[in-house]
Amino acid sequence: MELERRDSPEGTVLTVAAARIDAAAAIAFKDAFRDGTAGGEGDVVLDLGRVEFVDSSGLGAIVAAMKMLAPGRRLDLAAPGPAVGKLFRMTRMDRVFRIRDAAPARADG
Amino acid sequence: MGDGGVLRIGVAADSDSVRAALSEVAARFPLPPEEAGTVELVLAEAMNNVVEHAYAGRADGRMDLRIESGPDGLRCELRDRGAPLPEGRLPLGRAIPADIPLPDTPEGGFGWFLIRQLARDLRHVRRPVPGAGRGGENVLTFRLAVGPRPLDALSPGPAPP
Repeated sequence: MELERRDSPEGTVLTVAAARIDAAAAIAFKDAFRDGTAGGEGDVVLDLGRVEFVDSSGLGAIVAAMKMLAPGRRLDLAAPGPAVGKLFRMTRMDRVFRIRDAAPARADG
Repeated sequence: MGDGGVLRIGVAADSDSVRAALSEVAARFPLPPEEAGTVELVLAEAMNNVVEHAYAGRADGRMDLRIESGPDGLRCELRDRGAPLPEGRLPLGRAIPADIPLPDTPEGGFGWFLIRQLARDLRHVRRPVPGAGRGGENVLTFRLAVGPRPLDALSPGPAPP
């Protein structure tokens, strides 16, 4: 799975370039997240704007991703669609993560 | 969504085959986005449970999904010949407890919680399969209350008094 990485004033933004974070993609997601955040510092925003479907395996992978980050690095989620937002509310993930309406703008404006 | 249609699919017990089955269901029973999302999520959880637990990653597992569309929604039946459920009954499932410290946030266990939240008439039976020796099958049935309500939508309703 590809995570597009860019920097913003609010931290590293990783955009999920896939429509699904599901049981078939969970391991690839965690690997890509590890690669995308390794060696960095500061907070991370996971941009879910292109993701249409997350299941419980995908949800678990996102929680695992949060735990991969060094202490003090926060993971926020951004731009979940209706189905993904509903899943976060049902499972109370909206209390674990700060969920932003949109990903931060680019560093270069 | 047509009323009374039946879909039967044999699904290999791996996550890519589950994805393909979900696409087939979505194509066969077109629904508004929110309802389609509910159907996809519940079926994904039910089938992935079979992949991950009943067959525990075994490559040769198979399951049979049957979906019948009716006036009260989609009646679903999922059968597999994998291991029985733990303690022989449906797990309760859980949500994330409020105020849990972040490092303790669970990474799993949400599947049954979601099924229980979104599906109706949820039942599971373990029954013997004739000729299968000591093996048996799991039969999970539930209803997804989605789709048009033809009786409500098309009939004029009760005559005014």
